Parts: sequence; structure tokens; C-alpha cells
Amino acid sequence: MLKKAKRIVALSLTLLMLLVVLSGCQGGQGDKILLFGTTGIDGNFASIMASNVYDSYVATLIFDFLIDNDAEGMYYGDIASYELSNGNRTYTFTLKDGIKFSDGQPLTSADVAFTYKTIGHPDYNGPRAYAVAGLVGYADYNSGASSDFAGIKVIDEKTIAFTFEEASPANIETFLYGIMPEHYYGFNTWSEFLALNEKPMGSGKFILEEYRPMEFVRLAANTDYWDRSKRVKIGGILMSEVPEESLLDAFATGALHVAQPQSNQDNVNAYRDMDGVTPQIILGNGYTFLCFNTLQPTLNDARVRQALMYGVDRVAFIEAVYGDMATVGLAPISPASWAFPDSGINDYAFDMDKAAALFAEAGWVKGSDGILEKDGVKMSINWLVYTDVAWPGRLAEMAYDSWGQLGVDLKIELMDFNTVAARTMDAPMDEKMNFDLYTMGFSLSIDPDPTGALFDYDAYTEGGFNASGYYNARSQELITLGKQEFDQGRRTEIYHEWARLMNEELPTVIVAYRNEIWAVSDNVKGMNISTYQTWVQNIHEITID
Amino acid sequence: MRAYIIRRILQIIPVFLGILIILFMIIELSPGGPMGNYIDPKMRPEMKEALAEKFGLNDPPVTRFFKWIGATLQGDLGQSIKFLKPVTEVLRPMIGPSLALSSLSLLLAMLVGIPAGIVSATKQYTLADNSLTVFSLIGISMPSFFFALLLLKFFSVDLGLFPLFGLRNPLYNAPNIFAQMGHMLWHLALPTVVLGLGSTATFMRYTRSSMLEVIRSDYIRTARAKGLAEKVVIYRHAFRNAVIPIITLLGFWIPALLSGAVITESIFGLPGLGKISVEAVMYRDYPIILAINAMLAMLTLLSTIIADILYAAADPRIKYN
Amino acid sequence: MDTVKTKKVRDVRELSYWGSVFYRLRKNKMAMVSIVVLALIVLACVLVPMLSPYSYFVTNTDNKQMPPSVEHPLGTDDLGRDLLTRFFYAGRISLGIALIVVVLECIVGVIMGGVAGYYGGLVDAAIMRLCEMFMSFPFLMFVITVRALFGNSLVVLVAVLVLLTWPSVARIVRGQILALREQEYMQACEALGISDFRRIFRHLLPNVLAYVIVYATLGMASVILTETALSFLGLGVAPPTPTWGTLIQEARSRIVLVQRWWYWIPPGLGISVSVMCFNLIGDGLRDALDPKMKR
Repeated sequence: MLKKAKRIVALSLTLLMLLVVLSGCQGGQGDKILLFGTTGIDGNFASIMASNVYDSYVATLIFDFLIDNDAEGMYYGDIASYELSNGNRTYTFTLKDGIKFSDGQPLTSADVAFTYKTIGHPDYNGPRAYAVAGLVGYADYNSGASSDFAGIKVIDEKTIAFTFEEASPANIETFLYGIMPEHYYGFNTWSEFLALNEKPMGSGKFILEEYRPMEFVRLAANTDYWDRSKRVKIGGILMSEVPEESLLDAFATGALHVAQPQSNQDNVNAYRDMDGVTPQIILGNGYTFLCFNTLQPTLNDARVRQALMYGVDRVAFIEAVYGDMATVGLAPISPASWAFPDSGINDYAFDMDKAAALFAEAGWVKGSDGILEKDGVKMSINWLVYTDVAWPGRLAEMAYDSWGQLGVDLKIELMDFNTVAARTMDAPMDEKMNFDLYTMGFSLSIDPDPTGALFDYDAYTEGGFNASGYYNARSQELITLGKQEFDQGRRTEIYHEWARLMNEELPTVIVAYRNEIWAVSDNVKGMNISTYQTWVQNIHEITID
Repeated sequence: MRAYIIRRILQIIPVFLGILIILFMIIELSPGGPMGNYIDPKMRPEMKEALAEKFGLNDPPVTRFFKWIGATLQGDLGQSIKFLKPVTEVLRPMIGPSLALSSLSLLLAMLVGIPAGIVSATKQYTLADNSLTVFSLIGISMPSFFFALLLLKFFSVDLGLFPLFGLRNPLYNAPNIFAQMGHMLWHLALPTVVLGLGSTATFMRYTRSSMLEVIRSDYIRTARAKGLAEKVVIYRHAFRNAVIPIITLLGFWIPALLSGAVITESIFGLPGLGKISVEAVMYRDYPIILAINAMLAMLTLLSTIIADILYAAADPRIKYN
Repeated sequence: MDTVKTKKVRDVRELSYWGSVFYRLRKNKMAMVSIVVLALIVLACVLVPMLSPYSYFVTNTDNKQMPPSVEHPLGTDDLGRDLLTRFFYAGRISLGIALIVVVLECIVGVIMGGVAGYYGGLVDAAIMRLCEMFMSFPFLMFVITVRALFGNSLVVLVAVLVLLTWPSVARIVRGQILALREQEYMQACEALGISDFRRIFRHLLPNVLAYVIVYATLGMASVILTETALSFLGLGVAPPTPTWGTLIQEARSRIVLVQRWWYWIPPGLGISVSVMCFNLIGDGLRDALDPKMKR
């Protein structure tokens, strides 16, 4: 017995010593790796090529940006300060001192010009052409007619000016692309540029260490980052692809520090109950919508669209699908935005009587088969549902039930996301009538300008974003006024009026505003995520216990 | 026989061409397209149009088909639209894990399925036969994703014996190549079981019926009559003949496993051809879809022929003319 | 004792072909149990939705995610629908799809394989090459395309599955007919000048039919599983119509897997048990149909 006790004491002492030694080793943050869970990295890491959200995270960590935004969504100069002149058409940036790329070379205005000229380059095949399309001289440069991009002027090594064709407060969002070193990315043929897509090099806080497609990206801290006050404390980041099915258990077993699980009540409860993990819940900058094809004889009356909205219990839908993780959608503007109208918006609370009354008022009466009819047209509509995510199907199932009681014959068609896009927004003009309803999610940028989006009649084209076919002169006028107005107060008024008009006319219904769940391990300190700021923007504040 | 083989191999050419044409037609008829991924209100239609032009999507289908065939014959499979790099580079890192997973599953299926089939055949209608049959059927009776989830829940979550996802832990520093291989095998263990179980049951049942047939043949009866030990009869004489049709099965199996791993790969978060082909289909990344399916079709065709030839070689009663 | 035994043997000899098959099948306990279990499942799938006071699509979100109770023996789902009703209704759809697909693929397969095997030569080569083409199709792309072009009704789903599966049947039938043609009695038929029609229907088909029936039984199992896989990929049957394949997708959430067993155990059992039964019956039939296996 005594012998055994002695052995235990000896063993514990050894363990204790081992622990002391080990913890001595791990005193600094330099060897701490942040473990991040993703669901799909494509390897388009060059800042101007990144299109999916995880690629964008990588690009944001590796490159530096002219501007950044604060938690309220206000933009400020990041590696440069800027001034607006020339009737608000010209942005002049002055770079800070001492900025250098991770290979030691300085970052100059030539690199800034190179980055933006590359977006406008005739061979550019990334998704961001619109960023520079508003600049003076884009058409000539992009078509190859001119080797000079007139709207981009390098003034000296630290100063560069960008001139837009038209003044708009939304122009600032052009400067959201990381600055790429010309001496590294400079190219003769476009394939030379693409060859470096997976091997990014920038002036940012991290350096790419290893990328394995469909497995992981490993980033190491840039220990020589030019801005000492923003050098990261951790040693690196490992972004692994984790199947949605195993995300929860990956946290439970400590295999992850940060990830964004799907927004629903089950998930938030599970992460709340989990030891060592705290979910951060933030309002997502976007909404889900239900678009009506307003040119269909069944749906061209606003009263019918209103009736359909009164006839589906969105509160119950949100409760069933998201729980507390979403709220009923009201206006096509994020509730987090200054442009969101606080009053005068109808929430179309579930009311079957009102729905029936509106149908009757619009002249729709039930026929012998129980289906609503007007002038020989039956209220028979199809709904394109994509199955990549669950919510469109759920909403359609609820509508199938309650609309069925009202006399609406709903046909749910299942397809993948790409097919929905092809049959709605991307459909040629002579095929735009092959659908009645479709649902999708939409993420917003910080500026509320809706040009080209769901409600803009100019976007009712093949490949345009507006598939509803809805036209309203006042709405078009307000959209134009809104993007030209620099006075915040007047601009707010414009968007309030516009939001109320859309809420009344309902060419497209905003279904819900969703919250994002960010599961964050308690070991990670300083992780501040908000509607307008992603986790990568404040990466230098993060430490790991 | 030689004439038959040569003829079969020559026949591949029109069949393969037919498959390519149909494949191309399916892609052509399929709704949507790569441009459907550029869902961004800021991206104006003319910009989408310019991009489509750069990806060569605006040419008429016939032109594109011949362009593709021409380039493929020169070993150029084109550029991926999603990953913006050559298709060969996209697929290269996927082939290794896919082959590893499918051959491990095949190995498992053979090592377990064939002996189980023999036992089951030699002891037909006994408890051993019945329980082996039921056990083998449990595996294939469950949807594979469901089976995978149950395995993960039990072995990875509750017992913590296996990793939850991935092909490797990038932070693991292997002292040597064997440790690294062991590390990856450990990650592949559960996926192998999920993918291999269906094949195990199939192998077992094939072996069983093939053995039953052989055991009842005259020469085995003769062997028994000569007074040979039952073990010798079964393993030396019967098994050798019973295994021939099973070998011909192998040919079919590799392409089937490669394309059948979609669900396993996505649940276990493994890189591989199955997963990338689903992604390519959802994205309408035509060059990748074409390359993978052409490759699989070729594999399937070759294995059909190898199976037919092996079969002919094994059974002289079948005449080929 | 002795006399009874002899009598039984004689009985078997006196039975017709199918009679003796059934006799042998009856001796296979597992196959018989499977038949009974399947019959019960089918009966329940037909009766329960008819007798249930609930509809499979009427939602009631006040009543969602309820664990099993007296009113809802299998609980309710996220939208408050009675899961017992949905389970058995789903069974109707899943089993119905499987049955129709298998019957159609066997009809197509037998005709194509029969023609190929019997006539041989150029016809055979053409049909077999066609089979190879269909077998090499990109399954997923094909499903997406066909359903987009022709809609996503049950009919289209069935058509897709038939198109993709008939070559297996055709290959089996052709192989069998090739082998049979070489057998002495067929050569005798030829020598005796018996007509094509008689040869096909009297001598070849009954022998081939045995294999087809075995394949069909196993095919039922594989169609049920394929439907589940399609649901996994989001290409299954449109809501609100449930199938076992769509119901079991709930188990993908680890939270549901752990906390709401009533969501996934019934469809899991429904799929596994019926697939297993079909497989056991198929195996039993194979043993019973193969005259060589008489001991």
C-alpha cells in the first residue's frame, strides 16, 4: 500500500514539473494558433479575385486596405487618409509612412494604382469589375483603347487620386480591395497573374503558410508588420473545412475556437449550454426575401400580394426555423442602418380574414374546385425553392397549408440555387414569365443604395437582379435621388419614403432579418464581431489563453 | 480471343465519343450556368456578359464541343471557372485521397466479405450463415449518411477514438513518413468503414453464391470422395474456382467507389473527386464536370471490358464471336 | 417417420416449377419473416394515413417539436405536424416509387436484354454499347438536368431512376440468355425446329425471369436508398410530400440526433428494415429459384 502511495506521489510530482515546463514554453502568444472552422475555401486569395466569404477573410488577413469601417459602419482611412474634392467626384488618398509588404518592399501609390488598374484590365476575369466601372476612363482602359486609366492618377509616391464620373456617397465602397504589390503580381499575360492567385503576398498582418484545397489554409503572423500598434499577438490562424454536421462536436472537443454555425434556435441553445464556448449573436447585414413576379395576371395586383403576405404566418415560420435568431422583415434596408425607417411600416401580421377580404376586394372568388378565380384565371402559382439551405422549403410548406385554405393552388418546385437564378434573374426577357414566386437570401453592403438590386426597374433585364418586373416611377426617382444626396439627413428621408412605398406595394417581400451566431471559445479573448465588422478586422486585438 | 479483345478495345472509341456527346448535351441542356453564381446587384448584366465571353461561354455549343475535344486530345482540360486554375491542377490533389479511400474500402470489403462469404456458404442455413447475412445487410440497409452520422456520434464524439473530420490535422508534426501515414489512416478509418460496408456485403453475397455453386459441382464431389479433408476441399479446390467471378467484380468496383464517395466525403470533410464533382455541378463549372465525368466514363468502360475478358478467360463455355 | 419423409420428397417433385420455388422459399425462415414484416409495413402505410385524424401537410406551429404523447405517438416536427401520419404517408411514397421504378426498369431491361441476347450480332453490340453509355452517365448532373427540364414531379423522378437503372437488368438478362443458348436443350430446340416465339416464351423467359425477380427484389432496396441519397443532395421529392428519405435528413443535425430521437428513428427503421427485408427476400428467392442449389 505504502509503495503504491509513494509511486502516485512521484508520478504526480513528475506531472506537475512537466506542466510547469510546458506552461513555461507557452507563456507567449507567439505559438498560439487560432482554429477557425470554414465550409468552403476556393483559393481565390488575390484581394481583387476573392468572391466567397472565406476567401475574403483570407484576403483581408493578408492584404492592407485604403479604408476600413468602424462598428457603426462609418468608413475611415486605414493605411491612407483621404479627401473628397471636385464636386465630391475625386478621392485623393495620402498613404501613411513606412508601409511595407511582407517581403520588405515599400508599398507606394504605384501599387495602389496597379491594384485598381488590374481590376479594370481587359483580361480581368474576377467578380469585381463594378468597383472601378464608375471611374473616369474605365471604358477606354477596359476595352484596350487606352493604356492609361484616366480616372486613376498617381500624384507622387504617397499620393493618388481617383475620379468618378458621377458623385455618390456609395463610391467610397470602391476602396474595399486590398493593395497588391506590383513587383510581385505584375504580369504580361493574365495566366501569370492567376498563377499567383493561390500564393498571395501583401502588406497585411498575416502571411500565407500553406494551402491545401478542400482541407485548410494556414496563416502565420507577419511578425514584421509595419504598424507596430496593430501587430497581431497570436502566432497564426488555421482555417479548416469542417462539415456542418460535425461543427458542434468540433467545439466540444476543442478542435475549434471560432466558427459561424447556421442560425437557428437549436444551435444557439447548444452553444449556450456548452462549457467553454460563448455564442456571440449579432444582427446580420442582410435579409431573406420572397419575390413576386408582378407581371403575372395572378400577381399584378398589390392587394393580392398583400393578401398572400397576410395569409402566411411569418412569425410562426421564424419561430420554427430560426427561433430567436431572426425577426420579421419589414423594409429592404437593414435595421442596423441609419436609413432604416422606424415607423410607418406594415408588418403584415398573420390574419386570414384580412387576407380573404383582400382577395375578395381584388375580385378573386373561389370557384367550384375551391381555387380562387378571376376573369377565368385561376390563382395557381409556382414557387421555385432551392434546397441548398432549408428555410425556403419550410416557408413554402407553411404557405402551402395556409394559402391552400384561402384557395391558392401552390406548386412547390425543388431545384438547386443555380437553377433558381437561371429561371428568375438570369432568364432571358422572353422567358421571364416561367415563375411566380422565388425566395433567396441577400446580403447588403454598408451603404443602403439599392441601385441595381431587387426593386430597381433598370435591373429588370437578362442577368439583372430584379426579377419582379415591377415598375413605379416614384420609386425609381427616389433611388436616383438617394444615391446622389450627400446630406445624411435628407438622404435618410429619401430612403424612409422609399422603404414605405415598397412595403405598401410589395413587389418583393422582406421575409426576415437573420441574426448570425458566432461560436467563440472562451479561450479566445478580444473577439469583437458586429453587424458591420467581421472577426478579421479586429484580429490584432485577439489573444488566446 | 485476341481478335475479341482488339475488337472490344476498338469499340471503346465510338462508345466513348457517344458518351462525350451525351455528356456535353446534358450540360448544355442543364438549367443555369456559371454566370448564375455572380449574384451581386452591383454586377451589371454587361459585366456578366463580358465575363461569360472570357470564359468562352458565348460560343455556340458545337464550337465549344470541338474546341474542348481538340484541347483534351492535346492534354489540356481547360480552366476551372470556379477555381480559376487549370482543371488538372484542381483535380490533382483530389485524386490521391479518393484513390486511398476507395482502395482501402475495397481492401476492407475483400478481407471481410470473401471469408465471410465462404463461411456462410459452407455452413448454409446455419446460425452462422444467418447471422453473417443479417450483419452484412445491416450495413447496406442504412442510408450511408445516416450510418456515417451514427459512427461519428459513437466513435468520435462519445468515445473520442477517431477524429471528427478531415484527412489530417495540419498542426500534427509527424516525426517520419510512417507516422504521417498512420495519422492519415487513422483519419480515414471511419470513412473507409462507411464506404466499404456496402461493398463488403456485396462481396460476401457474391462469394457465398459462387461458392455454393462450386461446392455442388462434380469435381468437388470427387475430391470429397477421394477422402480429402473438408478444409482442403474448400480452400484448395472450391475457393480457387469460386473466386474467379469475384475478381471480375473488382473491375467495376473502383469507378463505382470513386463516384460513390460523394456523401462519405462530405460528411467526413475529406477532399476528393466525389465532393469536388458535386461542387462543380452546383457551380456549373463545366470544364471540371466534363473532365471528371469523362475520366469516370473511361474507367467504367475499361473495367467493363476487363471484366468481360476475364469472364471469357475463366469460363471457356462462353463463346465470343 | 420414414414414410413421411419420402412422401414430402415426392410432393416436391410433383410440384410445378413455381410451386417448388415457393416450397423451397418457405423453408427459408428469414425470407418468410421478411415477407410478413414487409406486408405489415405496407398495410400500415396504406391504412394509417387513412385512419389518422391528422393531415401530412397541415402545420400547427403552437404544437411543434412535441415528444411522443398519446395524441401524437411519434411526436410532431418543426412545423407541428404529426410525425406518425407523416411517417406512414412517407412510406407510401417511398415504397411506391421503389415499386414503380423496379417494375418499369425490369420491363425495359428484359426487352432490351432479351433482344440483345437472343438475336446477338449487331443488335447485341448496339444495345450493349447503349447500356455502357447509360451506365457511364454523370448521375448527379443527369438528375439535375432532367428534373429542371421536365419539372420535379414524382413521374420525372421515377423516369430518371428507370433510365439510369435499366442497363443493369438488360446486362443480366442478356448474359443469362447467352449462357442458356449454349446449353444442350436449347441446341436441341433449334435442331427440332421449334419456333422463335415458343423458344423465347416457353424455354428462355422462365429461366431468365428467376434472375430478374431476384434482381427486382434487391432493386427495391437500392431504389429506396437512392431516393434517400437524392434527398441528401436536395434533389428528392418536393415538400410538403414526405418520403422516408426526406424525413431522415433531420438526423443530420447532431442536436436532433441526440435530443429528438422521434424525428429520425422511425424513418431510419423504416428504411433499414424494409431494405433489409427486400434483400433477405431477394437472397431467399435466389436460393429457391436456382435448381442447382437443391440438395
